[in-house]
Amino acid sequence: MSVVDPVRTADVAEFLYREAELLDARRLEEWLELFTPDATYWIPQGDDSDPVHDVQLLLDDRRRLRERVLRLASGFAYSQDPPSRTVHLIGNVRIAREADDAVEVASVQLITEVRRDRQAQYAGHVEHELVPAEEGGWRIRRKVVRLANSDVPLGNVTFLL
Amino acid sequence: MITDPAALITDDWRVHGSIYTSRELFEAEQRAIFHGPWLYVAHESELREPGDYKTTYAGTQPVIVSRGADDGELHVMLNRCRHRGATVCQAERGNAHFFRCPYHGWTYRNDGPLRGVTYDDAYPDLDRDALGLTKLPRVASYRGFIFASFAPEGESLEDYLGNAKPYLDIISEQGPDGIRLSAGSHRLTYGGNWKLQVENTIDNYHFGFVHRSFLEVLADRMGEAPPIMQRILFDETYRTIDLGNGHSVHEFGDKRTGNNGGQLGDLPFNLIVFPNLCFVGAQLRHVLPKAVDRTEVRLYPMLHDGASDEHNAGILRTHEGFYGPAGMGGPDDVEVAFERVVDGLAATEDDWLVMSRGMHREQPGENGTLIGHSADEVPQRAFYRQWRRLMAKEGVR
Repeated sequence: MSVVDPVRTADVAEFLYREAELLDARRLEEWLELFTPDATYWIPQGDDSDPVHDVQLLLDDRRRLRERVLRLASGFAYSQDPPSRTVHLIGNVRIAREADDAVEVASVQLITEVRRDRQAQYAGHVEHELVPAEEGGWRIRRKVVRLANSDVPLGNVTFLL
Repeated sequence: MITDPAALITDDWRVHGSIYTSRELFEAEQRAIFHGPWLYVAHESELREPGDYKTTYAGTQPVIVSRGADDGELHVMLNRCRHRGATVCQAERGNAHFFRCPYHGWTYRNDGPLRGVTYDDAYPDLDRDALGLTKLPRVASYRGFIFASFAPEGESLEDYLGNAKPYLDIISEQGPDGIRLSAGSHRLTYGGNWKLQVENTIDNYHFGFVHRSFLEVLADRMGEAPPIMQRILFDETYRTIDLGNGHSVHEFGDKRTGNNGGQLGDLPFNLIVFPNLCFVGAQLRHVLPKAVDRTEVRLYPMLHDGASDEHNAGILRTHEGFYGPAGMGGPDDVEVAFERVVDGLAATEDDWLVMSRGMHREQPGENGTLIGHSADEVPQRAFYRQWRRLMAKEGVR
Protein backbone atom coordinates (compact mmCIF):
# COMPACT_ATOMS: atom_id res chain seq x y z
CA MET A 1 0.00 0.00 0.00
CA SER A 2 1.61 3.21 -1.11
CA VAL A 3 1.57 6.35 0.95
CA VAL A 4 -0.93 8.94 -0.24
CA ASP A 5 0.66 12.26 -1.05
CA PRO A 6 -2.22 14.75 -0.82
CA VAL A 7 -0.29 17.59 -2.42
CA ARG A 8 0.67 15.54 -5.45
CA THR A 9 -2.89 14.14 -5.75
CA ALA A 10 -4.31 17.66 -5.60
CA ASP A 11 -1.85 18.72 -8.29
CA VAL A 12 -2.93 16.03 -10.79
CA ALA A 13 -6.59 16.54 -9.89
CA GLU A 14 -6.23 20.22 -10.68
CA PHE A 15 -4.82 19.22 -14.07
CA LEU A 16 -7.85 16.98 -14.75
CA TYR A 17 -10.19 19.84 -13.82
CA ARG A 18 -8.41 22.17 -16.22
CA GLU A 19 -8.61 19.57 -18.98
CA ALA A 20 -12.35 19.16 -18.34
CA GLU A 21 -12.82 22.90 -18.39
CA LEU A 22 -11.27 23.10 -21.86
CA LEU A 23 -13.54 20.29 -23.10
CA ASP A 24 -16.69 21.81 -21.64
CA ALA A 25 -15.77 25.19 -23.15
CA ARG A 26 -15.00 23.45 -26.47
CA ARG A 27 -11.54 25.02 -26.53
CA LEU A 28 -10.44 21.93 -28.41
CA GLU A 29 -7.22 23.22 -29.95
CA GLU A 30 -5.94 24.12 -26.50
CA TRP A 31 -7.13 20.73 -25.26
CA LEU A 32 -5.21 19.01 -28.07
CA GLU A 33 -2.05 20.80 -26.93
CA LEU A 34 -2.29 18.95 -23.61
CA PHE A 35 -1.38 15.70 -25.41
CA THR A 36 2.15 14.55 -26.14
CA PRO A 37 3.13 13.84 -29.78
CA ASP A 38 3.06 10.09 -29.04
CA ALA A 39 -0.25 10.24 -27.18
CA THR A 40 -3.08 7.70 -27.27
CA TYR A 41 -6.74 8.59 -26.75
CA TRP A 42 -8.84 5.47 -26.30
CA ILE A 43 -12.51 4.73 -25.64
CA PRO A 44 -12.81 0.94 -25.43
CA GLN A 45 -16.00 -0.90 -26.26
CA GLY A 46 -16.95 -3.52 -23.69
CA ASP A 47 -15.01 -4.95 -20.78
CA ASP A 48 -11.65 -6.63 -21.38
CA SER A 49 -11.65 -5.31 -24.91
CA ASP A 50 -8.47 -5.98 -26.84
CA PRO A 51 -7.75 -3.38 -29.52
CA VAL A 52 -5.82 -5.82 -31.70
CA HIS A 53 -8.77 -8.21 -31.98
CA ASP A 54 -11.89 -6.25 -31.00
CA VAL A 55 -13.60 -3.20 -32.40
CA GLN A 56 -13.30 -0.09 -30.20
CA LEU A 57 -15.40 3.05 -30.02
CA LEU A 58 -12.20 4.82 -30.93
CA LEU A 59 -8.46 4.40 -30.52
CA ASP A 60 -6.67 7.52 -31.70
CA ASP A 61 -3.06 8.37 -32.03
CA ARG A 62 -2.19 12.03 -31.84
CA ARG A 63 -2.58 12.41 -35.61
CA ARG A 64 -6.15 11.13 -35.64
CA LEU A 65 -7.01 13.09 -32.52
CA ARG A 66 -5.87 16.21 -34.35
CA GLU A 67 -8.11 15.16 -37.27
CA ARG A 68 -11.08 14.94 -34.93
CA VAL A 69 -10.44 18.46 -33.69
CA LEU A 70 -9.98 19.67 -37.25
CA ARG A 71 -13.26 18.01 -38.30
CA LEU A 72 -15.19 19.56 -35.43
CA ALA A 73 -13.81 22.97 -36.34
CA SER A 74 -14.63 22.57 -40.05
CA GLY A 75 -18.18 23.86 -39.79
CA PHE A 76 -19.45 20.77 -41.64
CA ALA A 77 -19.52 18.18 -38.86
CA TYR A 78 -23.30 17.89 -38.85
CA SER A 79 -23.43 15.45 -35.95
CA GLN A 80 -22.01 18.32 -33.88
CA ASP A 81 -24.14 21.05 -35.43
CA PRO A 82 -25.35 22.29 -33.04
CA PRO A 83 -22.50 21.14 -30.79
CA SER A 84 -23.04 19.10 -27.65
CA ARG A 85 -22.96 21.04 -24.40
CA THR A 86 -21.10 18.95 -21.86
CA VAL A 87 -20.46 19.05 -18.13
CA HIS A 88 -17.65 16.86 -16.80
CA LEU A 89 -17.99 15.97 -13.13
CA ILE A 90 -14.78 14.41 -11.85
CA GLY A 91 -14.34 12.43 -8.67
CA ASN A 92 -12.39 9.67 -6.91
CA VAL A 93 -9.12 11.10 -8.19
CA ARG A 94 -6.14 9.13 -7.00
CA ILE A 95 -2.64 8.31 -8.15
CA ALA A 96 -2.76 4.71 -9.29
CA ARG A 97 0.95 4.32 -10.02
CA GLU A 98 4.15 6.35 -10.04
CA ALA A 99 6.70 5.42 -12.66
CA ASP A 100 10.10 6.97 -13.38
CA ASP A 101 8.90 9.40 -15.98
CA ALA A 102 5.11 9.29 -15.58
CA VAL A 103 2.24 9.23 -13.15
CA GLU A 104 -0.91 7.20 -13.74
CA VAL A 105 -4.05 8.86 -12.47
CA ALA A 106 -7.38 7.11 -11.97
CA SER A 107 -10.64 9.01 -11.74
CA VAL A 108 -14.33 8.58 -12.35
CA GLN A 109 -16.17 10.99 -14.57
CA LEU A 110 -19.84 11.66 -15.13
CA ILE A 111 -20.30 13.46 -18.41
CA THR A 112 -23.69 15.03 -19.00
CA GLU A 113 -24.30 15.87 -22.62
CA VAL A 114 -27.11 18.02 -23.98
CA ARG A 115 -27.85 18.36 -27.65
CA ARG A 116 -30.94 18.95 -29.77
CA ASP A 117 -33.43 18.77 -26.89
CA ARG A 118 -31.91 15.58 -25.54
CA GLN A 119 -29.81 14.89 -22.49
CA ALA A 120 -27.52 11.90 -22.22
CA GLN A 121 -25.17 10.75 -19.49
CA TYR A 122 -21.91 8.91 -19.90
CA ALA A 123 -20.30 7.58 -16.75
CA GLY A 124 -16.90 6.01 -16.83
CA HIS A 125 -13.64 5.11 -15.21
CA VAL A 126 -10.91 7.27 -16.67
CA GLU A 127 -7.17 6.66 -16.74
CA HIS A 128 -4.61 9.36 -17.47
CA GLU A 129 -0.92 8.72 -17.95
CA LEU A 130 0.70 12.09 -17.32
CA VAL A 131 4.26 13.12 -18.02
CA PRO A 132 5.90 16.33 -16.82
CA ALA A 133 5.78 19.18 -19.32
CA GLU A 134 8.98 21.08 -20.07
CA GLU A 135 7.37 24.36 -19.07
CA GLY A 136 5.97 22.82 -15.88
CA GLY A 137 2.69 21.08 -15.25
CA TRP A 138 1.64 17.97 -17.13
CA ARG A 139 1.06 16.50 -20.56
CA ILE A 140 -1.21 13.55 -21.36
CA ARG A 141 0.54 10.56 -22.91
CA ARG A 142 -2.45 8.27 -22.64
CA LYS A 143 -6.10 8.82 -21.84
CA VAL A 144 -8.53 5.92 -21.55
CA VAL A 145 -12.25 6.46 -20.96
CA ARG A 146 -13.95 3.22 -19.93
CA LEU A 147 -17.63 4.00 -20.26
CA ALA A 148 -20.19 1.97 -18.33
CA ASN A 149 -22.45 2.04 -21.40
CA SER A 150 -19.79 1.47 -24.06
CA ASP A 151 -21.38 -1.75 -25.32
CA VAL A 152 -25.04 -0.77 -25.40
CA PRO A 153 -26.40 0.65 -28.66
CA LEU A 154 -25.32 4.29 -28.66
CA GLY A 155 -26.44 7.30 -30.62
CA ASN A 156 -24.00 10.09 -31.23
CA VAL A 157 -20.69 10.18 -29.33
CA THR A 158 -18.92 12.60 -31.64
CA PHE A 159 -18.16 15.20 -28.99
CA LEU A 160 -14.84 14.69 -27.25
CA LEU A 161 -14.82 13.03 -23.86
CA MET B 1 -53.69 7.17 -45.95
CA ILE B 2 -52.75 5.34 -49.14
CA THR B 3 -53.53 1.68 -48.52
CA ASP B 4 -52.37 0.29 -51.87
CA PRO B 5 -48.56 -0.12 -51.58
CA ALA B 6 -48.19 0.08 -55.36
CA ALA B 7 -49.65 3.59 -55.26
CA LEU B 8 -46.92 4.77 -52.86
CA ILE B 9 -44.39 4.82 -55.69
CA THR B 10 -45.31 6.50 -58.97
CA ASP B 11 -44.03 5.58 -62.43
CA ASP B 12 -41.84 8.70 -62.46
CA TRP B 13 -40.37 7.71 -59.07
CA ARG B 14 -42.16 9.95 -56.65
CA VAL B 15 -42.16 8.07 -53.35
CA HIS B 16 -44.69 8.75 -50.62
CA GLY B 17 -43.29 9.80 -47.22
CA SER B 18 -45.58 7.41 -45.36
CA ILE B 19 -43.31 4.49 -46.32
CA TYR B 20 -41.09 5.75 -43.49
CA THR B 21 -43.76 6.81 -41.02
CA SER B 22 -46.85 4.61 -41.31
CA ARG B 23 -47.30 2.05 -38.56
CA GLU B 24 -49.62 0.05 -40.81
CA LEU B 25 -46.97 -0.14 -43.52
CA PHE B 26 -44.36 -1.19 -40.98
CA GLU B 27 -46.61 -4.04 -39.85
CA ALA B 28 -47.26 -5.00 -43.47
CA GLU B 29 -43.48 -5.04 -44.05
CA GLN B 30 -43.06 -7.47 -41.19
CA ARG B 31 -45.42 -9.85 -43.00
CA ALA B 32 -44.34 -9.20 -46.59
CA ILE B 33 -40.59 -8.62 -46.31
CA PHE B 34 -39.47 -10.07 -43.00
CA HIS B 35 -41.71 -13.16 -43.01
CA GLY B 36 -41.15 -15.31 -46.05
CA PRO B 37 -38.18 -14.00 -48.03
CA TRP B 38 -34.64 -15.01 -47.02
CA LEU B 39 -33.15 -13.03 -44.14
CA TYR B 40 -29.47 -12.84 -43.20
CA VAL B 41 -28.88 -14.01 -39.62
CA ALA B 42 -25.19 -14.85 -39.10
CA HIS B 43 -21.81 -15.59 -40.63
CA GLU B 44 -20.34 -19.08 -40.27
CA SER B 45 -17.19 -17.68 -38.65
CA GLU B 46 -19.38 -16.84 -35.64
CA LEU B 47 -20.47 -20.49 -35.37
CA ARG B 48 -17.40 -22.60 -36.06
CA GLU B 49 -17.65 -25.17 -33.27
CA PRO B 50 -20.53 -27.52 -32.42
CA GLY B 51 -22.59 -25.80 -29.72
CA ASP B 52 -21.67 -22.27 -30.83
CA TYR B 53 -24.58 -19.87 -30.90
CA LYS B 54 -25.43 -16.22 -31.36
CA THR B 55 -28.60 -14.25 -30.72
CA THR B 56 -29.97 -11.82 -33.27
CA TYR B 57 -33.22 -10.82 -34.95
CA ALA B 58 -35.21 -12.02 -37.94
CA GLY B 59 -37.23 -8.90 -38.65
CA THR B 60 -38.40 -7.82 -35.18
CA GLN B 61 -38.37 -11.38 -33.81
CA PRO B 62 -35.53 -12.45 -31.49
CA VAL B 63 -33.84 -15.62 -32.71
CA ILE B 64 -31.01 -17.93 -31.73
CA VAL B 65 -28.69 -19.17 -34.46
CA SER B 66 -26.81 -22.27 -33.35
CA ARG B 67 -24.56 -25.01 -34.61
CA GLY B 68 -26.01 -28.21 -33.20
CA ALA B 69 -23.85 -29.75 -30.47
CA ASP B 70 -24.77 -33.20 -31.79
CA ASP B 71 -25.41 -32.78 -35.51
CA GLY B 72 -23.10 -29.85 -36.33
CA GLU B 73 -25.89 -28.39 -38.49
CA LEU B 74 -27.09 -24.78 -38.46
CA HIS B 75 -30.38 -24.06 -36.71
CA VAL B 76 -32.40 -20.86 -36.38
CA MET B 77 -35.10 -20.75 -33.69
CA LEU B 78 -37.20 -18.19 -31.92
CA ASN B 79 -35.66 -17.04 -28.64
CA ARG B 80 -38.86 -17.61 -26.69
CA CYS B 81 -39.73 -20.25 -24.15
CA ARG B 82 -42.73 -22.29 -25.30
CA HIS B 83 -44.08 -22.27 -21.72
CA ARG B 84 -44.61 -18.61 -20.80
CA GLY B 85 -42.56 -16.72 -23.33
CA ALA B 86 -39.32 -15.58 -21.68
CA THR B 87 -36.19 -15.48 -23.81
CA VAL B 88 -34.16 -18.61 -23.13
CA CYS B 89 -30.79 -17.18 -24.18
CA GLN B 90 -29.45 -13.81 -23.04
CA ALA B 91 -25.86 -13.78 -24.27
CA GLU B 92 -24.92 -12.26 -27.61
CA ARG B 93 -22.82 -15.31 -28.39
CA GLY B 94 -21.37 -18.35 -26.71
CA ASN B 95 -21.26 -22.12 -26.69
CA ALA B 96 -23.89 -24.28 -24.98
CA HIS B 97 -25.42 -27.72 -25.29
CA PHE B 98 -28.70 -26.58 -23.72
CA PHE B 99 -30.72 -23.42 -23.23
CA ARG B 100 -32.51 -23.34 -19.89
CA CYS B 101 -35.32 -20.86 -19.37
CA PRO B 102 -34.70 -19.08 -16.08
CA TYR B 103 -38.43 -18.53 -15.44
CA HIS B 104 -39.56 -22.11 -14.62
CA GLY B 105 -36.56 -24.12 -15.68
CA TRP B 106 -37.74 -25.60 -18.98
CA THR B 107 -34.68 -26.81 -20.86
CA TYR B 108 -34.11 -27.10 -24.60
CA ARG B 109 -31.36 -28.78 -26.57
CA ASN B 110 -29.30 -26.22 -28.48
CA ASP B 111 -30.92 -27.37 -31.74
CA GLY B 112 -34.42 -26.83 -30.36
CA PRO B 113 -36.10 -29.94 -28.86
CA LEU B 114 -37.62 -29.64 -25.39
CA ARG B 115 -35.57 -31.88 -23.11
CA GLY B 116 -36.58 -30.99 -19.59
CA VAL B 117 -39.79 -29.84 -17.87
CA THR B 118 -39.42 -29.27 -14.14
CA TYR B 119 -41.83 -31.02 -11.74
CA ASP B 120 -43.59 -32.48 -14.75
CA ASP B 121 -46.04 -34.69 -12.82
CA ALA B 122 -48.39 -31.70 -13.06
CA TYR B 123 -48.65 -32.24 -16.84
CA PRO B 124 -50.27 -35.63 -17.42
CA ASP B 125 -50.40 -35.28 -21.21
CA LEU B 126 -47.86 -32.65 -22.25
CA ASP B 127 -46.85 -33.11 -25.90
CA ARG B 128 -43.14 -32.44 -25.52
CA ASP B 129 -42.37 -33.22 -29.12
CA ALA B 130 -44.54 -30.31 -30.21
CA LEU B 131 -43.00 -27.89 -27.70
CA GLY B 132 -39.44 -27.49 -28.91
CA LEU B 133 -38.18 -24.00 -29.64
CA THR B 134 -39.99 -22.83 -32.78
CA LYS B 135 -37.67 -23.32 -35.74
CA LEU B 136 -37.47 -21.22 -38.85
CA PRO B 137 -38.22 -23.93 -41.38
CA ARG B 138 -35.52 -23.06 -43.90
CA VAL B 139 -31.88 -22.29 -43.16
CA ALA B 140 -29.23 -22.08 -45.87
CA SER B 141 -25.73 -20.76 -46.20
CA TYR B 142 -23.96 -19.18 -49.16
CA ARG B 143 -20.17 -18.71 -48.96
CA GLY B 144 -20.42 -18.51 -45.17
CA PHE B 145 -23.36 -16.11 -45.05
CA ILE B 146 -26.26 -17.79 -43.23
CA PHE B 147 -29.85 -16.93 -44.12
CA ALA B 148 -33.18 -18.21 -42.80
CA SER B 149 -36.79 -17.97 -43.86
CA PHE B 150 -40.10 -18.25 -42.04
CA ALA B 151 -41.63 -19.78 -45.19
CA PRO B 152 -41.45 -23.59 -45.41
CA GLU B 153 -41.24 -23.37 -49.21
CA GLY B 154 -40.03 -20.85 -51.73
CA GLU B 155 -37.15 -20.07 -54.04
CA SER B 156 -33.73 -21.37 -53.08
CA LEU B 157 -31.23 -19.05 -51.39
CA GLU B 158 -29.02 -19.16 -54.48
CA ASP B 159 -31.89 -18.14 -56.74
CA TYR B 160 -32.82 -15.38 -54.31
CA LEU B 161 -29.26 -13.99 -54.16
CA GLY B 162 -29.01 -14.21 -57.95
CA ASN B 163 -26.71 -11.54 -59.35
CA ALA B 164 -25.46 -10.65 -55.85
CA LYS B 165 -23.64 -13.99 -55.61
CA PRO B 166 -20.41 -13.04 -57.46
CA TYR B 167 -20.02 -10.09 -55.10
CA LEU B 168 -20.55 -12.27 -52.01
CA ASP B 169 -17.91 -14.61 -53.50
CA ILE B 170 -15.41 -11.76 -53.64
CA ILE B 171 -16.25 -10.60 -50.10
CA SER B 172 -15.79 -14.12 -48.76
CA GLU B 173 -12.31 -14.21 -50.36
CA GLN B 174 -11.06 -10.91 -48.95
CA GLY B 175 -8.48 -12.47 -46.61
CA PRO B 176 -5.88 -15.10 -47.52
CA ASP B 177 -8.09 -17.71 -45.82
CA GLY B 178 -11.39 -15.85 -46.02
CA ILE B 179 -13.07 -13.52 -43.56
CA ARG B 180 -14.22 -13.71 -39.98
CA LEU B 181 -16.62 -11.66 -37.86
CA SER B 182 -14.72 -12.06 -34.61
CA ALA B 183 -14.16 -8.42 -33.62
CA GLY B 184 -17.64 -7.76 -32.23
CA SER B 185 -19.79 -5.01 -33.64
CA HIS B 186 -20.58 -1.35 -33.33
CA ARG B 187 -24.22 -1.02 -32.39
CA LEU B 188 -26.07 2.20 -32.93
CA THR B 189 -29.66 3.25 -32.67
CA TYR B 190 -31.61 6.07 -34.21
CA GLY B 191 -35.15 7.35 -34.03
CA GLY B 192 -36.19 6.64 -37.60
CA ASN B 193 -37.28 4.00 -40.08
CA TRP B 194 -34.94 1.10 -40.98
CA LYS B 195 -35.09 1.80 -44.72
CA LEU B 196 -33.34 5.15 -44.22
CA GLN B 197 -30.15 3.29 -43.26
CA VAL B 198 -30.37 0.74 -46.06
CA GLU B 199 -30.95 3.31 -48.80
CA ASN B 200 -28.19 5.55 -47.43
CA THR B 201 -25.66 2.70 -47.71
CA ILE B 202 -25.22 3.21 -51.45
CA ASP B 203 -26.04 6.86 -52.00
CA ASN B 204 -23.02 8.40 -53.61
CA TYR B 205 -24.90 11.62 -54.25
CA HIS B 206 -24.78 12.48 -50.53
CA PHE B 207 -21.11 11.81 -49.89
CA GLY B 208 -19.71 15.21 -50.75
CA PHE B 209 -22.40 16.97 -48.74
CA VAL B 210 -23.02 14.96 -45.57
CA HIS B 211 -19.36 13.93 -45.30
CA ARG B 212 -17.76 17.20 -46.22
CA SER B 213 -16.03 17.38 -42.82
CA PHE B 214 -14.51 13.95 -43.43
CA LEU B 215 -13.36 15.03 -46.88
CA GLU B 216 -11.57 17.93 -45.20
CA VAL B 217 -9.88 15.46 -42.86
CA LEU B 218 -8.84 13.37 -45.87
CA ALA B 219 -7.49 16.43 -47.66
CA ASP B 220 -5.41 17.22 -44.58
CA ARG B 221 -4.24 13.61 -44.34
CA MET B 222 -3.27 13.37 -48.01
CA GLY B 223 -2.07 16.93 -48.58
CA GLU B 224 -4.43 17.29 -51.56
CA ALA B 225 -8.10 16.98 -52.42
CA PRO B 226 -9.13 13.33 -51.99
CA PRO B 227 -10.03 11.61 -55.26
CA ILE B 228 -13.29 10.04 -54.14
CA MET B 229 -15.66 12.82 -55.21
CA GLN B 230 -14.10 13.24 -58.65
CA ARG B 231 -14.40 9.51 -59.18
CA ILE B 232 -18.02 9.39 -58.02
CA LEU B 233 -18.97 12.25 -60.29
CA PHE B 234 -16.83 11.64 -63.39
CA ASP B 235 -15.25 8.17 -63.49
CA GLU B 236 -17.32 6.07 -65.88
CA THR B 237 -16.00 2.82 -64.43
CA TYR B 238 -17.80 3.73 -61.19
CA ARG B 239 -21.25 2.23 -61.65
CA THR B 240 -24.37 1.58 -59.64
CA ILE B 241 -26.20 -1.60 -60.64
CA ASP B 242 -29.69 -2.86 -59.89
CA LEU B 243 -28.92 -6.58 -59.51
CA GLY B 244 -32.56 -7.65 -59.33
CA ASN B 245 -34.55 -9.01 -56.35
CA GLY B 246 -33.91 -5.71 -54.54
CA HIS B 247 -30.12 -6.16 -54.43
CA SER B 248 -27.73 -3.50 -55.71
CA VAL B 249 -24.05 -2.70 -55.90
CA HIS B 250 -21.73 0.26 -56.36
CA GLU B 251 -18.59 -0.76 -58.22
CA PHE B 252 -15.39 1.30 -57.90
CA GLY B 253 -14.02 0.22 -61.24
CA ASP B 254 -12.83 -3.38 -61.27
CA LYS B 255 -14.97 -5.39 -58.89
CA ARG B 256 -12.00 -7.28 -57.47
CA THR B 257 -9.40 -4.55 -57.20
CA GLY B 258 -11.38 -1.31 -57.08
CA ASN B 259 -10.59 1.28 -54.42
CA ASN B 260 -12.53 4.49 -54.11
CA GLY B 261 -9.76 6.33 -52.28
CA GLY B 262 -12.11 7.22 -49.45
CA GLN B 263 -10.08 5.45 -46.74
CA LEU B 264 -13.26 3.82 -45.47
CA GLY B 265 -12.15 0.18 -45.72
CA ASP B 266 -10.83 -2.08 -48.42
CA LEU B 267 -13.93 -3.68 -49.99
CA PRO B 268 -13.75 -3.02 -53.75
CA PHE B 269 -17.49 -2.20 -53.92
CA ASN B 270 -20.53 -1.53 -51.74
CA LEU B 271 -23.32 -4.10 -51.81
CA ILE B 272 -26.91 -4.21 -50.57
CA VAL B 273 -28.61 -7.60 -50.21
CA PHE B 274 -32.33 -7.02 -49.85
CA PRO B 275 -33.79 -6.26 -47.41
CA ASN B 276 -31.36 -5.46 -44.59
CA LEU B 277 -27.83 -6.75 -45.23
CA CYS B 278 -25.19 -4.32 -46.46
CA PHE B 279 -21.46 -4.37 -47.14
CA VAL B 280 -19.57 -1.11 -47.05
CA GLY B 281 -16.02 -0.10 -46.14
CA ALA B 282 -14.75 -3.28 -44.51
CA GLN B 283 -17.93 -4.04 -42.65
CA LEU B 284 -20.98 -6.25 -42.75
CA ARG B 285 -23.91 -4.05 -41.76
CA HIS B 286 -27.08 -5.64 -40.38
CA VAL B 287 -30.04 -3.27 -40.14
CA LEU B 288 -32.60 -4.30 -37.53
CA PRO B 289 -36.07 -2.74 -37.62
CA LYS B 290 -37.43 -2.21 -34.10
CA ALA B 291 -40.50 -0.07 -34.74
CA VAL B 292 -41.62 2.18 -37.57
CA ASP B 293 -39.57 4.98 -36.00
CA ARG B 294 -36.78 3.02 -34.29
CA THR B 295 -33.86 1.10 -35.76
CA GLU B 296 -30.76 -0.65 -34.46
CA VAL B 297 -27.77 -1.05 -36.76
CA ARG B 298 -24.95 -3.52 -36.13
CA LEU B 299 -21.66 -2.93 -37.93
CA TYR B 300 -19.38 -5.97 -37.95
CA PRO B 301 -15.85 -5.30 -39.19
CA MET B 302 -14.78 -8.23 -41.36
CA LEU B 303 -11.28 -9.37 -40.38
CA HIS B 304 -9.04 -11.28 -42.76
CA ASP B 305 -8.39 -14.90 -41.84
CA GLY B 306 -4.77 -15.81 -42.38
CA ALA B 307 -3.60 -12.18 -42.13
CA SER B 308 -1.41 -10.73 -39.38
CA ASP B 309 -2.77 -9.16 -36.21
CA GLU B 310 -1.25 -5.90 -37.40
CA HIS B 311 -3.16 -6.06 -40.68
CA ASN B 312 -6.44 -6.82 -38.90
CA ALA B 313 -5.91 -4.11 -36.29
CA GLY B 314 -5.46 -1.75 -39.25
CA ILE B 315 -8.87 -2.83 -40.59
CA LEU B 316 -10.39 -2.03 -37.19
CA ARG B 317 -8.76 1.39 -36.90
CA THR B 318 -9.80 2.39 -40.43
CA HIS B 319 -13.37 1.26 -39.67
CA GLU B 320 -13.48 3.19 -36.38
CA GLY B 321 -12.18 6.31 -38.13
CA PHE B 322 -15.41 6.73 -40.09
CA TYR B 323 -18.02 4.39 -38.61
CA GLY B 324 -19.65 3.69 -35.28
CA PRO B 325 -21.11 6.05 -32.69
CA ALA B 326 -17.83 7.98 -32.38
CA GLY B 327 -16.78 7.80 -36.04
CA MET B 328 -15.98 10.82 -38.19
CA GLY B 329 -18.58 9.91 -40.83
CA GLY B 330 -21.36 7.55 -39.79
CA PRO B 331 -22.83 9.84 -37.12
CA ASP B 332 -23.25 12.57 -39.75
CA ASP B 333 -25.48 10.15 -41.68
CA VAL B 334 -27.48 9.50 -38.51
CA GLU B 335 -27.86 13.23 -37.97
CA VAL B 336 -28.74 14.31 -41.48
CA ALA B 337 -29.96 11.30 -43.45
CA PHE B 338 -32.03 9.77 -40.66
CA GLU B 339 -32.96 12.16 -37.87
CA ARG B 340 -33.32 15.38 -39.87
CA VAL B 341 -35.28 13.40 -42.48
CA VAL B 342 -37.58 12.16 -39.72
CA ASP B 343 -38.07 15.72 -38.52
CA GLY B 344 -38.80 16.93 -42.04
CA LEU B 345 -41.20 14.09 -42.84
CA ALA B 346 -43.51 15.40 -40.12
CA ALA B 347 -44.44 18.05 -42.70
CA THR B 348 -46.98 15.84 -44.44
CA GLU B 349 -48.91 18.51 -46.31
CA ASP B 350 -47.10 17.56 -49.52
CA ASP B 351 -45.84 14.09 -48.69
CA TRP B 352 -44.01 13.10 -51.88
CA LEU B 353 -40.24 12.57 -52.32
CA VAL B 354 -38.18 12.45 -55.51
CA MET B 355 -36.20 9.28 -56.27
CA SER B 356 -35.76 9.68 -60.03
CA ARG B 357 -32.12 10.74 -60.21
CA GLY B 358 -30.52 9.20 -63.32
CA MET B 359 -33.63 7.22 -64.22
CA HIS B 360 -33.40 8.30 -67.87
CA ARG B 361 -29.88 6.90 -68.25
CA GLU B 362 -30.32 3.46 -66.67
CA GLN B 363 -28.98 0.95 -69.17
CA PRO B 364 -29.88 -2.74 -69.29
CA GLY B 365 -26.95 -5.02 -68.45
CA GLU B 366 -26.50 -8.78 -68.34
CA ASN B 367 -28.97 -11.07 -66.54
CA GLY B 368 -31.67 -8.42 -66.23
CA THR B 369 -29.49 -5.89 -64.40
CA LEU B 370 -29.85 -2.11 -64.78
CA ILE B 371 -26.71 0.00 -64.79
CA GLY B 372 -26.44 3.67 -63.88
CA HIS B 373 -23.92 6.32 -62.94
CA SER B 374 -22.25 6.31 -59.56
CA ALA B 375 -24.30 9.13 -58.04
CA ASP B 376 -27.64 8.05 -59.52
CA GLU B 377 -30.46 6.66 -57.40
CA VAL B 378 -30.25 3.22 -59.01
CA PRO B 379 -29.78 1.37 -55.67
CA GLN B 380 -32.77 3.13 -54.14
CA ARG B 381 -34.98 2.19 -57.09
CA ALA B 382 -33.64 -1.38 -57.01
CA PHE B 383 -34.66 -1.61 -53.37
CA TYR B 384 -38.12 -0.10 -53.83
CA ARG B 385 -38.93 -2.14 -56.94
CA GLN B 386 -38.63 -5.28 -54.81
CA TRP B 387 -40.33 -3.59 -51.84
CA ARG B 388 -43.28 -2.65 -54.01
CA ARG B 389 -43.50 -6.15 -55.51
CA LEU B 390 -43.57 -7.86 -52.11
CA MET B 391 -45.82 -5.28 -50.47
CA ALA B 392 -48.33 -5.30 -53.33
CA LYS B 393 -48.66 -9.05 -52.92
CA GLU B 394 -49.26 -8.67 -49.20
CA GLY B 395 -51.37 -5.51 -49.13
CA VAL B 396 -52.08 -3.40 -46.07
CA ARG B 397 -54.68 -4.64 -43.59
